[in-house]
Amino acid sequence: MIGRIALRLEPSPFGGKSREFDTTFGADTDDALVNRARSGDFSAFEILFERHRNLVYRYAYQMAPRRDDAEDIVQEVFIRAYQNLHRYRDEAKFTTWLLRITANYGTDRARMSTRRQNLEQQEAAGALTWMTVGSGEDDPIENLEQARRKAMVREAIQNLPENHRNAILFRDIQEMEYDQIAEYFGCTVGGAKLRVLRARRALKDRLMPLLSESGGEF
Amino acid sequence: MTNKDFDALIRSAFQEEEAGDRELVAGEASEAMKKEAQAYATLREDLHALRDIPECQMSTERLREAILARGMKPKRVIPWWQPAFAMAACAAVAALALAPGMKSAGMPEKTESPLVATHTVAEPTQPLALEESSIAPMTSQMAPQGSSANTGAAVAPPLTERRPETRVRPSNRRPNRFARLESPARDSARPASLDSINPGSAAAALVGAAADSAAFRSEDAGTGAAMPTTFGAADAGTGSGGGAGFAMPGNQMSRAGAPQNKSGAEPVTVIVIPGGVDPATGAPVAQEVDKREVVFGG
Repeated sequence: MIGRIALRLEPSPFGGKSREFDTTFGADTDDALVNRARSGDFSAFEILFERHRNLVYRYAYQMAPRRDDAEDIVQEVFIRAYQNLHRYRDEAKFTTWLLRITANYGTDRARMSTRRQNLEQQEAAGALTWMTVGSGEDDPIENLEQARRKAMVREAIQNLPENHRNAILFRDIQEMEYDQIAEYFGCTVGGAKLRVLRARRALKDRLMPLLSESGGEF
Repeated sequence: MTNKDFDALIRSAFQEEEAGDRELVAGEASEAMKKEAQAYATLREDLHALRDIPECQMSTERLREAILARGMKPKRVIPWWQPAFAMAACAAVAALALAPGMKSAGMPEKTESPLVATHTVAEPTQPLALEESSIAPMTSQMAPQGSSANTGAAVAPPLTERRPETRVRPSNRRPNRFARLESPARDSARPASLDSINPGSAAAALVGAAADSAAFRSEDAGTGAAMPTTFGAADAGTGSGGGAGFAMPGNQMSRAGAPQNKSGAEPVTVIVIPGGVDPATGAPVAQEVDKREVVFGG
């Protein structure tokens, strides 16, 4: 089979399941690394990059479902972060700040190149997708069907309002904890749960017509 | 199905059940509810499928090169001339505002304007009041010439009507230094119309101009006197004098322009303190006499 089997990424940095992403231990906390990077220690920023690039990448991939584009977004986000390190305040977590930069950049990017993004989505929904992202099965027809369904779900997510889209991405794709989502949205944990529930309902309402048009079922 | 049931159903489908959700969902075990639950379970699977994405292959070296290539944000460089220009502009404005010659530079225009004397004038002082007799005859001679016209439009508006226009000003605003420069243009129509009404206005204008200059002198000196009769004459003759703005308590004149000398109607008394002590009270002696019987002078 041509192509590459998709890899599951590491568990969420917010889930506490991976020691690799433990950002609160010892002197290598995010804040300490940020302070070192501010004082000119680029290796500290490299550690931050290694630690959080997958978080940004997974979020970016949902905005631009091609690896190259997602990596470009990651690069741009970390460049912006480095250039604006002096603006980072310790009140928010570094990861929340990074996600905000990513969301803002994604919005700018979508605004600037809507047409280009449509072409990319079409391409991602087309025949090339199954060559890069597959289920591991050898049945190409099934792979194609899965890719089509994924593209449809992705399109429905992209068409959601921004707060709903982020709620879905953070909770159901990034597997972030509710307190992290609440920090991002600046609300309570209960408020974050409510937002996620509303976002899921909105997504389902958008997805049902798309699936029924294409002959799929829910 | 209520919203609460619906939320419980979504939580159950996404395996985030809270206390009581299971009972709520079990209690509403209708066919529609089961279908909804199945739809949300499928949605959850679809969303989980989106987690499978290719691995990020971006390296640290790539980021480092990109940052080196892009560099830091260029700092805003302020040209040296910007602060210098700002300082020079401030200095120029300050110089304009504080220049001592500003007021005197506008003085000639004030004297040329027939209605420039719009400022307040203080109570008349005695030395200038004594000049009334020298001016009053002239105006009284002119009064009959212009009296017929002055009964109409040539009559200067009552002094009290012009007061708010010239005096009422918000307390938090700076006085308009250029008001006097603007007044000739604003009042340019008045002398022309008056001239057309009264042919003897030229002479009265001279009187008005003289009165104006006297008014400014007296105003500057802080006395501001002697104008009542002068402006009474101007109003009586042509109305082209600057008396309209001079709101003098003693300036009692009729609407027809006939001057009324207040000092003749009711004599003004003056307190004279000759010196010495009253034996009864021990206080200094004071005497009230008619003003006309007193000669003022140094």
